[in-house]
Amino acid sequence: MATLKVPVTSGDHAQGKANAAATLVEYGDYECPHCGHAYPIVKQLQEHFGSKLRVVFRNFPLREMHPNAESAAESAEFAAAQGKFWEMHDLLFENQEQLGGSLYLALAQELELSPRALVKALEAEEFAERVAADFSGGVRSGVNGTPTFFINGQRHDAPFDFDFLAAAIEKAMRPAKKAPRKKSA
Amino acid sequence: MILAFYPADFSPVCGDQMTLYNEILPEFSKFNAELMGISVDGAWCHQAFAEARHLHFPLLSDFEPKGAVARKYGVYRSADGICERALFVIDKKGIIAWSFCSPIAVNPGADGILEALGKLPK
Repeated sequence: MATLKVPVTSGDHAQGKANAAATLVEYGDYECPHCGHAYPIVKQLQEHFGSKLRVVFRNFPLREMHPNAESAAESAEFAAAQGKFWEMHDLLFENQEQLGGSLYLALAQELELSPRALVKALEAEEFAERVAADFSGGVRSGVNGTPTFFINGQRHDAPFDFDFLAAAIEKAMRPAKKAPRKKSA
Repeated sequence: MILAFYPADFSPVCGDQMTLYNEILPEFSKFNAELMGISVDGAWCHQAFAEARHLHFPLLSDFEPKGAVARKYGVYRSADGICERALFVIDKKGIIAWSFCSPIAVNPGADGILEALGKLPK
């Protein structure tokens, strides 16, 4: 079974406590319709599990298929550098149909980030390395499309409907059964 | 060389194995590895698939005699008339260094391939 090869660190974009009972890592692409479909499901999971669940998002832009995926990912990283990753992440998914330069600028304005600085960052590919590192780590971990979820480090191979994900998270939260101890004679 | 048998062209978009491998070609070329996809689809079907998904690697057609190559590799599903989702890493001498057969519905990703490539003598 595929496992997460790059551990979650403080450099990750995370919502929730580091010591939460379960960590859900999503490798996603802002232009992928399936990720768009998963977006409200993840929110629902966060509501359902509360502080018991930590959610992490990593970039996995499928550049050949989705021409705006890379620029969207870099825009989110730009916002992250100013402490507004999740705000931008949410807005990008909520406006998935309109990805592109003019949307990024409008969203930057909405989040009170400098649109000019964003244009500069995108032109200079300032955050391309960060996005590429996420991608590369994802490939090594067995990401097999978008979205790919890992629950406590294990790839989730079942569908990503709420029920399936919630059941897998609950299972991961349960303490591992201890092997019965042999009584010494 | 990486030889990737897959059941059929045109499976659902974002989770498609060949489409994924197309995105990670640069990771394969870090190891000087060439990727080839192979299925029982005909050459014209492959061409349409490759064009639709902008694939930058060759697709081989195991069409006539149908599944002959897959049979030789032991990855043909006679009952279904398609090949398994099976991966082979073949070294410079033509020896299979690593192989993996995934459940047909599970895209195996590329972690196993990269690990196998990393273990090949340079």
